[in-house]
Amino acid sequence: MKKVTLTIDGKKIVADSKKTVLEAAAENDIYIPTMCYLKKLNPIGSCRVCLVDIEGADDPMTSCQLPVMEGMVVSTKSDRVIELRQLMVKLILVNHPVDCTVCERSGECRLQDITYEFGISRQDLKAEPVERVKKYDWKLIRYNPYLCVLCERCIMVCHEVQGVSTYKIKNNGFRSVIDTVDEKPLDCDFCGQCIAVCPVGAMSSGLVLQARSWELNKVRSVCSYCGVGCPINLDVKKGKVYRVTSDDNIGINNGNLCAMGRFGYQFIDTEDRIKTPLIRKGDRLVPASWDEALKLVSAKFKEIKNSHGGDAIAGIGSERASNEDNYLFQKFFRTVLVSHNIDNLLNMENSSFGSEVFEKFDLPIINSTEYITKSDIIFTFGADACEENPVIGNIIRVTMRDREARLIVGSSRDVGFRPPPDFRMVYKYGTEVLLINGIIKSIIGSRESEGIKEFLDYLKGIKLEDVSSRTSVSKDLIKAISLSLIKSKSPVILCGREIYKHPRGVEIIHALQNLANIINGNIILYREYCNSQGVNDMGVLPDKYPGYKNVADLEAKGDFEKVWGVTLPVKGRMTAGRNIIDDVVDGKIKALYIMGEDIVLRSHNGNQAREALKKIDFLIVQDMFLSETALFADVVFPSASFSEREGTFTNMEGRIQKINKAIEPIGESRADWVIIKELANKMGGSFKYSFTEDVFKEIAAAIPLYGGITYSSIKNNGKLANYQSQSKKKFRVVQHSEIESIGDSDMPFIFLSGNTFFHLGTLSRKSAAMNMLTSECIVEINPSDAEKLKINDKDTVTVKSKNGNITIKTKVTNKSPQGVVFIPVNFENAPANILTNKKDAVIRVKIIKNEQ
Amino acid sequence: MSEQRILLPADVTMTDFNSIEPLFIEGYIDRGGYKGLSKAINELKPTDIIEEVKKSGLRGRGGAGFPTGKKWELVAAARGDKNYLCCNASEGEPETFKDRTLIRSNPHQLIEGIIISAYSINANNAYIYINEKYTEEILILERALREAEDNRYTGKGILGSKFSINIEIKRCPDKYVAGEETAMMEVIEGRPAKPWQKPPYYPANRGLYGMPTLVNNTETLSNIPHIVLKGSEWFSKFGSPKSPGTMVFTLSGDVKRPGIYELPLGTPLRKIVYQCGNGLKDGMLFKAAFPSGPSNSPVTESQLDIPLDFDSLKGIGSGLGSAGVIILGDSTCIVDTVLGFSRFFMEESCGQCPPCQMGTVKIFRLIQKIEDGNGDMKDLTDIENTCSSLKGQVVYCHLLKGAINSIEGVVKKFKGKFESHINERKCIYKAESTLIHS
Repeated sequence: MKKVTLTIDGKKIVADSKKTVLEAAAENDIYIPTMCYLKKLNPIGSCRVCLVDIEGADDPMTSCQLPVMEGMVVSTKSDRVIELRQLMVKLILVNHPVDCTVCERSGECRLQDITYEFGISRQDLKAEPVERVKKYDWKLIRYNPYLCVLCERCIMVCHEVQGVSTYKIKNNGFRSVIDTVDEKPLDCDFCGQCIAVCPVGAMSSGLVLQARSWELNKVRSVCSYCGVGCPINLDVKKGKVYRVTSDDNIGINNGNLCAMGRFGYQFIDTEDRIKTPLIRKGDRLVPASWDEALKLVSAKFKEIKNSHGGDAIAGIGSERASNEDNYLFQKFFRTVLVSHNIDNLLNMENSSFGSEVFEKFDLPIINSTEYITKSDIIFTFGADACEENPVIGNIIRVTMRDREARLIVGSSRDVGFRPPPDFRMVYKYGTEVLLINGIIKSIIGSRESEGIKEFLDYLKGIKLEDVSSRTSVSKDLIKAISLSLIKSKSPVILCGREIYKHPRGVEIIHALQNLANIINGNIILYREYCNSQGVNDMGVLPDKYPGYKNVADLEAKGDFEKVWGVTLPVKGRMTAGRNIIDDVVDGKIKALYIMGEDIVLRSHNGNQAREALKKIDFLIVQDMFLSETALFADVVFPSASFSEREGTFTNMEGRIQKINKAIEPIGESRADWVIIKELANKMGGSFKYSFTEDVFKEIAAAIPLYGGITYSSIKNNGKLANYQSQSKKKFRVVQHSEIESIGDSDMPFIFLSGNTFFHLGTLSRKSAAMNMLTSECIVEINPSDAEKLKINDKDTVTVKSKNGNITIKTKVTNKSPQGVVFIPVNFENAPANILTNKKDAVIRVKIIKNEQ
Repeated sequence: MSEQRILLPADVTMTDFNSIEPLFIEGYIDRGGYKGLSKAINELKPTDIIEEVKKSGLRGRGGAGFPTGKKWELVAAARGDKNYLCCNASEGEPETFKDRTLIRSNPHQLIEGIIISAYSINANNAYIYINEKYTEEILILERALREAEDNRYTGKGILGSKFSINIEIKRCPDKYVAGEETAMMEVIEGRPAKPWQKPPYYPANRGLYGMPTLVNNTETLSNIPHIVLKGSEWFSKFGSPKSPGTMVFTLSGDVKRPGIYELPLGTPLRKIVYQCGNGLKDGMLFKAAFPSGPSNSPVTESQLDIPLDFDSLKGIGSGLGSAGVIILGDSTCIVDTVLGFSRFFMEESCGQCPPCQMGTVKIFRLIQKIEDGNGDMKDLTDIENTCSSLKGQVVYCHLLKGAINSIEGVVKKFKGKFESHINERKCIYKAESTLIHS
């Protein structure tokens, strides 16, 4: 890159020619005050606080916008600029009420800081007040125009980072205020980025803050919602979390958060939290002491183990519990109950997704998001980059801005992107493998063949016409996408929920790996929950020890026997091809221990889950809330939330990050690992851990993936686990296979489900702020389908599958292609999993309009 | 006088404005139209044309009077994959509508000028940026552009050459700042009209979509076909040595015959007031003239013989701007006139620069206080102080500078009028003629 030499305040500086004067100065520890400037945004230049004098120029210039030039002589401290900066701030202050005592931003206000820094103690300018309208009807965001300094940060962050472009400056001159583009009440992503970047108190959340900024203690943690794992701060005062903030320049998110991350923290402290252990007495769950509950469980487990063997007890780990919790959970089962009967829900549901995909690491899909920021083409496949893991959407958008990266969006729903992608491909659900093979064929066809013969021979049999007609993606589009993928120097493929929840998920990933190999790209897999990766790494799998060592492998068994000092069982999964819930229904399992999982709402077959829970002799549920699953429990252990304890999460990149204790556990709740430890010790185990760090130490020693990482070395940016692919260029022949389709002949719609934008799983439903944004379950249907059925937006309909039916309101949207309906999984009053019963099948439904 | 014109076939009085008959393609070609273009394409290299324009001494008619040839040279020399040309036909200055008149009477003259200029700087895309409220002129331009395309003056490979040109009309929001050249770039690229900081980047080296962009005024471009066809020597016979050519003046205010007058640059102010305007109306005596709308200091009676050109007016602390000459008679209240000006600037400030946003309001409020008879001497000093403190402020366009120029000039030259408002505690003129209605 070209370098230029310039002088700032008499100091000779060599800087990159693309830098601005402000950046060059900052790199050399020369301070220039700023107000509207924000590193993550393009320079705005509205406040003029960063003025500098340039030799030879008549007027001072804003250093944030001024590129460095060869031989430039800059003065940041001339009398003229100091005076002008002061005047600028005075002018900004003319209309800014100095209501610092009642302003929630006091103490972290840029204007306050600058005024003080500049020594402005007298205001000799004045203006008559102008009437303005406060915007308090914008749901979670409030705008106070009296405090606004019109720096435009909110407009720019909304446009550049969030891609929503909600705001504009309304009016002009001294009447300028921020308003929504359509001047209607705000209806946006509610990511709150505008609040985070507001230098004053103009943008604030409607969640009234009763703590001054200097009273709030910022405790670094990690967001407990999705698999992105954004570092956050829990702002705490006297044992209460008042808000969630995030710092720029740290972690994957660079200060950006989504609505859930920023506003969805209220579940921590709600009335619904379980405060004591509960024991079933007849129809009721009644409070009990820890000692009582642990004794009961330990006695019952011992009894079942003695009469039926350890395999009669099964456990389901949690994608939202920490690594330490999950590690001890599986250790408890393997060493104390002597059973490999443990699993996590994603793995149970999706053809052994966890064990298949991660086992050998020859599928390099756990990759750092740096691959996105360094890419020139981003190909999202089966992912909704705006709504699913929204912060990844931010990263994509910023990459598009900074590197002019192109975007290809492929999904079975018309998910799109903001800004609109370069290519948009809506394919028929179930034809993914065929489509990917078609793209590969199209790429191979136009370049010299290389690779494995068998694979190439297979591709010869594929005809693009055939692919096009079966996937309903046009041949031209396949060719255009192939062409741009070939041209790319650093492509990255992202695959999302649609893939990892897909009946053929593993095969699709294999097919995508072939594609990645050919175009020399990298794959990044989205993960649904904060520790979806960690729960697998920790070996909460029936056939794998921690670190994906095979249970059947005697060497691995020996290794773990050494680490744990016990004799481990040889036998793996009870019944091949059947998961824990199947085994419960079959009567093979007498007791079930569920940690932080709501299988009634989250399993693919809600009816079967209910049946299993009714049938089970003894059920223990360990959760923060009395979930639908917990209602069936014999014993409920109250677990502490992520804000009340320490631990580590492993995000979708394989980045291990630390959560810290911010407040005391609510009621008598305890960290999951502490509960497991107590129970294990009660049952004769020897779990000698005093702190979370002790557990992590054992993890690092037992799992090569986490080897060499010490607990204390996990700082702001976390630590990447050692997911190194051993054989990157591995081609496999992946054939398209038809998926069984379940439904009567009068059920025309393919049924898809997923998370609605403002909720993830059911935890967010405990947060009042998120419920304010969406609290009603809807079914998404294509306008032309709706017209055929004479259905309007917000009509009540019954969605009926062979397995069951739910009554729900409609949302007519183009996002659902013709013949596809979508229902979110987050609402307990309309559990979408009632409609589904078989995991390896496409479920078809019909829609019946309800008479009013 | 009639032989001394280049652009307009005849002067247009205000009352005749609506009856201007546009000259369309047949008539234009009949009068020698597009000969300049064919000469440029067939006989001249782009560098030759730039040289000729430089020699002609033509200066930008948009207000700044920058040498046109020099600007072209800068754009042609700037490195870019793609050059653009923008014809700035937006008129936001009150009491100025020369560009509107030019388009209304002879749209092809402008289009020919655009094509030749684009050819000289190798721009294949040109925009005509025109006020959206000029609906009739837009229709005229649309028709003229269709005609030009049908006759293969625009499009691919014009006149058998390899040069292609596409001209598009872009509508300009009805805001004063929207006519500022960098605000124009923003609007064309689809953003709100807000000027950029300049320097470091001028449109000539980094303009539309980051590419070198030539921005010329309608009148400037309309001169080009004539210069190319008849030569720079012919052109420089008009006007004064440093400001050659003619200028289309918009004359308004207290004159008997307001209108659009094309006169050689350097014509004395007296001539335009008394010959073109036929003197002051209602038996009034001359009090002051604003030679470029509300953005410059006024000219007083003793300066009536000042030649109207860029340098002479600059020499007396005023400016020619885009030649919207406003004449004030002795029974018009100058405080009220300036109040109108200051209201205009307050309303039109885009609001992105704090000094302009706050300063324009402050000045307006102070003048209003005095005009209403509620002011005191402190307010007058306050106006002077505010003007001088706002002078050195960093703002991105000329709006604030214009406001200060005229207001400071009026206060300086007509201080007595302000003092009498303060002393009498009222406006002694029963002035109804407020020039600016907002």
